[in-house]
Amino acid sequence: MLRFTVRRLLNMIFVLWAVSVLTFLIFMVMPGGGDEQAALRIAGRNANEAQIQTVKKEWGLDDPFYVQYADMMKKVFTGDLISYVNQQNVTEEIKRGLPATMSLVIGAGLIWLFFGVLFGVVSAVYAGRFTDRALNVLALIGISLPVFWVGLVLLYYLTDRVALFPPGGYTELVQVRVDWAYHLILPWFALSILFIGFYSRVLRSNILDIENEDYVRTAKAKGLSERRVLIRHTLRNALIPIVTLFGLDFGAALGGGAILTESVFGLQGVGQYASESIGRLDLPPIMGVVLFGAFFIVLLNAIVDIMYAFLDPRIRLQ
Amino acid sequence: MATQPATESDFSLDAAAAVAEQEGSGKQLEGMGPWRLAWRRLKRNRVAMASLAVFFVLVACCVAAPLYAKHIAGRGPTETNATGTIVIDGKKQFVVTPDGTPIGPGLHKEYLLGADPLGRDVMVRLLYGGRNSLFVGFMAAVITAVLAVGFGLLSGYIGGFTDGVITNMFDILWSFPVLLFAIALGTALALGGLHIGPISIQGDSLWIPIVIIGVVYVPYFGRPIRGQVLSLREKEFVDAAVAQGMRSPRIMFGEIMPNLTSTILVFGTLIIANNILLEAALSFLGAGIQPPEPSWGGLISDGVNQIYTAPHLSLVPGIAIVIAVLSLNVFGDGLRDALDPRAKVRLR
Amino acid sequence: MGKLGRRALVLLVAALSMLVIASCGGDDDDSGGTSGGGGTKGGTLNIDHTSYPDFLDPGLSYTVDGWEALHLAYTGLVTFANGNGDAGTEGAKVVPGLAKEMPKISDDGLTYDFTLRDNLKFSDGTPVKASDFKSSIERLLEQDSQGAGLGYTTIKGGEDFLKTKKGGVPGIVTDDAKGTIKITLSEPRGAFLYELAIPFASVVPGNTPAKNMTKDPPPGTGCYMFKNVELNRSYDLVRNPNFSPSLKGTDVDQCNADQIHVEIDPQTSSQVTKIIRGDLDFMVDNPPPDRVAELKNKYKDRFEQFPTNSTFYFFMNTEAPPFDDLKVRQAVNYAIDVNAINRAQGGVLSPAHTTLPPGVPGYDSSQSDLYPFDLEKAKSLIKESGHEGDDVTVWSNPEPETQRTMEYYADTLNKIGLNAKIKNIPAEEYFVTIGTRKNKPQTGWANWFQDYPHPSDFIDILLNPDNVVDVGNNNYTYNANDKQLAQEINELNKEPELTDDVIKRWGEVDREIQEKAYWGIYGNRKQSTFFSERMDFDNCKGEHAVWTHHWGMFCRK
Repeated sequence: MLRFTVRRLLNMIFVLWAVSVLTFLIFMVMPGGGDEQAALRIAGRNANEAQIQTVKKEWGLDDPFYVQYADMMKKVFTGDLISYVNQQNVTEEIKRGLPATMSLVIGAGLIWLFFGVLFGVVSAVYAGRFTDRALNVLALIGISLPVFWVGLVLLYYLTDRVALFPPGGYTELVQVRVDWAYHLILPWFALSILFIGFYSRVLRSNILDIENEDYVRTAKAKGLSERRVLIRHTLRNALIPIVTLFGLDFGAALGGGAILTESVFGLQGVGQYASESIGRLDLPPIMGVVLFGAFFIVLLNAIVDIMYAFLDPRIRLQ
Repeated sequence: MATQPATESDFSLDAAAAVAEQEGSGKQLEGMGPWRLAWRRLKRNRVAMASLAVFFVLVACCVAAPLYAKHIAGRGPTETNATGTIVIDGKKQFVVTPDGTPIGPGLHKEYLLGADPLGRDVMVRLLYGGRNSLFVGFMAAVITAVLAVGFGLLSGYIGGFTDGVITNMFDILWSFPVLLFAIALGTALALGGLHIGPISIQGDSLWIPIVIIGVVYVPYFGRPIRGQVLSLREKEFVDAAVAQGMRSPRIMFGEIMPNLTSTILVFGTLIIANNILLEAALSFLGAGIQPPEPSWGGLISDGVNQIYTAPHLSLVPGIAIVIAVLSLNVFGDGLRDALDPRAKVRLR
Repeated sequence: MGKLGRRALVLLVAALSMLVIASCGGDDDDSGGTSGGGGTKGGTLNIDHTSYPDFLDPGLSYTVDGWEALHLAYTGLVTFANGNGDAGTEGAKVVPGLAKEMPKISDDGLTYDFTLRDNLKFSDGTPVKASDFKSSIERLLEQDSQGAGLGYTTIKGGEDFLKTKKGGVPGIVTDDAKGTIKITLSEPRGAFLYELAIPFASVVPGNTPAKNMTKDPPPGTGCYMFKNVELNRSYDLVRNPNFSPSLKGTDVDQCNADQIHVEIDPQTSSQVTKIIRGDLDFMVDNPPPDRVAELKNKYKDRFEQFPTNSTFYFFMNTEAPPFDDLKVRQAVNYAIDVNAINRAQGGVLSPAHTTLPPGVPGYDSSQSDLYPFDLEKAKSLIKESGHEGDDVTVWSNPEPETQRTMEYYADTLNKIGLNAKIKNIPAEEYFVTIGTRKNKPQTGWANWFQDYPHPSDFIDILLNPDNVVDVGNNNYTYNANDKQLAQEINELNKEPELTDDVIKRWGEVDREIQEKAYWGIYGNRKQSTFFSERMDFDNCKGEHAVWTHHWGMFCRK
């Protein structure tokens, strides 16, 4: 078990390293990114040739790219990454956006997990009947909606037409609890819809699959009441893949899946910061947010894998 | 969607045949291969077939965009008419008022779905945008399918070092926050285009978002394909082929791949649906289909600033997206049911 | 200045009378007289920006947002008069700031003599010395500030110091004991006095490091000072407890509210809603176009738009065919319909056809539109020129209003017979890219907001053929070969005063530029004033020719 865990963690580090290289290459090497642009960006609109050269020297933009890469990685760890566009510290900016992003994703995550499981179970129990069909239709619609569009529609109808909710922005948790939640209700809803639809369908299908299997039939034949059969045997097994999915989706959402929701609702979280930086082709913040996101994705992947290996010894031996 | 369905039941047509026997009266089904059985089952699913029809109608409308523009609307997707006038209900009014409010949808030949602040016809832009968005979604799905199947086959069948390399590649690609990756690539490539060796693509070409979206989903579908190949590899017919002296490529493509077909078909509809959503998101953020080429996501983003005075600008393209994606999803459900009806069977 | 999003500085009516105001209730302290009558002073006001000012450092900031905040805390030897808070059409006046009176200018226009007021202090209590002015100017040159090219290099030795960073600026001679400052220029410059009034030339303590002090702004002499600076989030302007007694009663002494709390909200629409709800008092940026109609109708008791000194235009590069052909440039001018563009921008444009906006001296309202909208004429001109079907790349960036305007422009070029395609580049890189000569950008979007109300700020910077360089251009016409124009502009630059004759000559140069059709001019931007319910709209609007809005003039009902 230990060997497996260690192997998994080493793999994590390798993947993160590869992600950083990939990011660097995309923005340094591709046309439009690169040293010349970065130097121009820092030097400002009215820069002359001499000023640009000075900037290049100060920021090391003349060095070969592997030197720049090493330098940038060093800065990532010491927390010294500075944006090309507004000379701010990337780590600070990410820290500032963290509360909003965390509030959004954790809240939405709990919501979609709860409702996804709830609807999945209800659909399975009433399989074939009206409730099931209705929930299936809702789920299908849920997975067909573009997240950002849902956000926009909600913003329009529920904050302007009918001033039910505030028009975006994020209030600190510490300030006013109610206000914090009030500002987050619409974003939570927008972000969870897709996953609720998806999880309920997957769970329903899993439950029904398992109910088909022989051991469940045997259990029923043994005379256990249908309820107990459902809960004890079926759910436990049906939920395992859901938990896996949740781990991966949560990681992905934290890693950047929340970009759209944050941008539409103006939550000023890490996702919005990422989207703005990418739009400006500003490499240091991009590197920062990509590593931030990748870290969570990889971490959660690893946790899920380790849990699986713990539960199923066969996997460890691979 | 951010994840792959990790628990897709594998599609075994033996099981399908077995259930078919249960379902229908044995006689008329004798002699029918599993594919025809599946097709019959699909045809009987009214909802799925209706869904497919809706999707086709949508595609047909978009393909016919130039005809609509020429004969009905009277203007192309980029033709402006900001100071023009139109007669509605006998009254002459500005297409766009002096402070920038365009007319909304209504039953008039021109501007059926309203105008935008430059006096362009929303319906025309919607149709042309649909062409772009659907084309990108479909072609990207082709790329994903080809790459996912290719890598999945190689990885699952050959195993060993190749498998290790490919799986790691999947891991790395998968760990990159999908949306960030797509946005990053989209923005960077939109600027300078893609120039690798002999391949040279301009920054505003449709192929840039196609390639990006195509590549980004490869790990999500490559993994389950690989899983299926792994289990198929253990089956007897493969042993038989090896014993017959068949070479690996022939086995991979001739024996194993056909068994993946049903998986590919069902995944295919899902992938196209997802691609349409991803393309909309990218274009909304400016990292997908580049203006002035219209796209559904781009149209939504154009309308954002006018959401209070001209909501139709953002609402209409969104509805179009939902119709396209929903119809694909419903059909995909039906397709899966037809190919693997086990999921439908329940205890009474 | 011309960075995207900078707003203009409005012209001002004549200086107003100063009143000593007895406390009108509320927490009003005796910091001296203020302009305008009525209204409750004191208290805290809430203001929003959509993005944080580029720098909270007077030596570096070059945006309207930045200046709007900075002038409240930092003062130069001279400053701009406060005006009466209403948008006006006359030039903003330069009045004494830290100097006792306006400078003595030598007859040859090369020397400026100033004497500081007595007992001036910074907000941390330390006294202001004459040499602090010299180090403030040197500080801005040493950091290669974007303002460096604005005229501070005309000071003797300024150019060399900018290049070598050694030896200081010998052209500034100060005497701390007497409080005198003598500035010697290497050639006469009419705009120089104005350039001493903008924040670049404000005085900060001599020991302020020559680096970006945004996180912890240096002490200043204004009636407000910065406090609680949280980068990218918020900042406060609070009353300066060490405000110099000798500045009381002057134009510098204009701080009605006790405190101004400023925050960032990137969505203008959300800002509008906050003002309507009363959670916000004032928004620095314009409301989004689609809410303007609502504001004009429902809230006309606290909303108005006024023209700013800005020009919005399509540039045409004379070094990139087909725009080297006069006929083509004229055709473009005939083809542009300002009313169409105005709709695309939600009615925030005031149609224009001259280089200089109405508020800048030199503007001649008798000049008619040389190119009234005529699509057919444009088409025939293109045919005549033989350039029908030529490929044209239209440069643009993804900011929504620009995007839309450029889509209109490209479509218009297509309508008259050219083959136009849009090329989008990120907003941050836009001006840098079109300002690089070798890129040969054919045509695209540009704007300019005045730095100060002097015609050279527009014509010299944006159209002087001698100012065409290889990198970092503001002259997107690249008309380096127009020697006649260069000579005319250079001569006018040297005139130390804006006499009626000089103003008339600038107007003639403007006309010449229109005749040469270098630009496709389409508008001057209108700026909005929108207040919350509790603000006194009638008496304390605070509209200002240079600062756009003078926050120190805001007051509550």
